[in-house]
Amino acid sequence: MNDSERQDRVRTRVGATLLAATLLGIGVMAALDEIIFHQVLAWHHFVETDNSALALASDGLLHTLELVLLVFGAALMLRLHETGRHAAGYRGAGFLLGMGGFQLFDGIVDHKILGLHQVRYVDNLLAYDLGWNAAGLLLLIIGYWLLRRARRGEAMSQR
Amino acid sequence: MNGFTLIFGLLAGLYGWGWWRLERRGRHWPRWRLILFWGSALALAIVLSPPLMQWAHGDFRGHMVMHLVAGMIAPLGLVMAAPVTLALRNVPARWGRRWVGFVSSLPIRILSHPITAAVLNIGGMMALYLTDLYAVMLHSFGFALWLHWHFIIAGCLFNWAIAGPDPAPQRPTLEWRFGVLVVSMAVHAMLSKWMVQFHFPASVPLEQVRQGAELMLYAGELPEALLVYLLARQWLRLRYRDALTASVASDAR
Repeated sequence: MNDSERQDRVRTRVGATLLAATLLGIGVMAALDEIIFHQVLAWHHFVETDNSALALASDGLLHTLELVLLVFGAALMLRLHETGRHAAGYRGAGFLLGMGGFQLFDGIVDHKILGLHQVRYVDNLLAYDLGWNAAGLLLLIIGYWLLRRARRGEAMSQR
Repeated sequence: MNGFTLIFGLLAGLYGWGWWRLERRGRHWPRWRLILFWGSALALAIVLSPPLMQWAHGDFRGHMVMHLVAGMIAPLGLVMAAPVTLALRNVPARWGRRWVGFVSSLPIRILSHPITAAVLNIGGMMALYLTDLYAVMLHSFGFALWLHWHFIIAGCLFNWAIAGPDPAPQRPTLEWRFGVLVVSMAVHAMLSKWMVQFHFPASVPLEQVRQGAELMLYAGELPEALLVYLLARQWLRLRYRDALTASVASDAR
C-alpha cells in the first residue's frame, strides 16, 4: 500500500459531513419548534379537535423521523470527527440548510397541506404564516451562501 | 415487597455473583454494565412494588409511568448489560455452544426476529388500549400480572433483537433492524395521538388519557432515541473504521 492510498483511506467526506450537519439542523429545528411553540408558548397543541386519524398518523411518523434524523445525525457527525473524516467548512452550511428546510417544510406541508395545526390561532394568521416561512427561507439562503464559500475553500472553519 | 422484588433481587444477585467470579480470576468485565443491570433491576422492583402498583391501578398516568419503566427503560438497561455473555463466561464452553445452538434454532429465530418482537410489544399495547382489555385488566389480578411479565419480556426481546450485545447468530441485517425500529417508533407515536383524539381506553377519563399519552410520547422517546443511537453506532463503526486500524490492518496483509 502506498502513501496516496493510505491518505485516501482517511480522506474527508464532504457528502457525509453535509448529510450529518443537515440531519442535525432538521432535528434541532424540529426540537425547537416542539419545545418553544408547542410546550412553552402553547400556541398549538398535542392534538387538535378536528384532526383525522390519517393526519395524526402522518404527524406521528414525522415526529419519529425528526427524532431519528437528530440522533442519527449526531452519531454520524461524532464518528466522522472520531476518525478525522469531517469536512470542516460544510458543517455550518449543512446545519443551516437543514434548519431552514425543515422550517419551510413545516410551514407549508404540516401547517397548510396536512392542516395538522396553525402557527397561532388568531385572526391575522397570514402575518404569522409569512413570518414563519420567511424565517425558513432566510436560513436556507444563509446556508446556501456558506455552502458556496465552503466549495470555494473560503469557509471560516478549516479544522 | 412482593414477588417482583424477590425475583429482580435474585437476578441482580446472580449478575453480581457472575461479575465477582470473573473479577476474582482477573478477567475484565466493565463495571458500568454491573451498575446498569443493578439500576434496571432496582427500577423494576420499585415500579412493581405495592404502593406504585396501587397508584397505577387507580390512575392512568401511574399506569403509563409503570409501562415506560417496566416495558421500555428497564429492558434496555437489562439487555445492554449483556447478562447472557456474562453467564456464558462463567460456565464451561460446551454450555455456550449449546446456548448458541438453542438461539439458532428456528422457533427462537422466529420469536426473536425484530418484527415478531415489535408486534408483541406494540401489538400488545394496541390490544390493551384500543379494546376493553384495559378494563378487564383492572378487574383481574391474574391478567394484570400476566401483562406485566408480557411487557417486561417483550421489551427485553425487542431491545435484544434490535441492538443487543448478547450472542444472536443469524440476526437480520442492520437495514432490517433499523427499519423495524423506525416503524415501531412511528406506530408508538401514532397510537399515543389516536388515544387522545378517539378517547382510548374508554373507561379512563379523557384528561387522564391526554396526560398519560403525552407521557407515552415524550418520555418514551428517551429509550427509543438511545436505541437508535446504539444501533447507529454499530453501523457507523463498520462503515467508517478507525484510520489507524485500517492502515495497520492493510500493512499486515
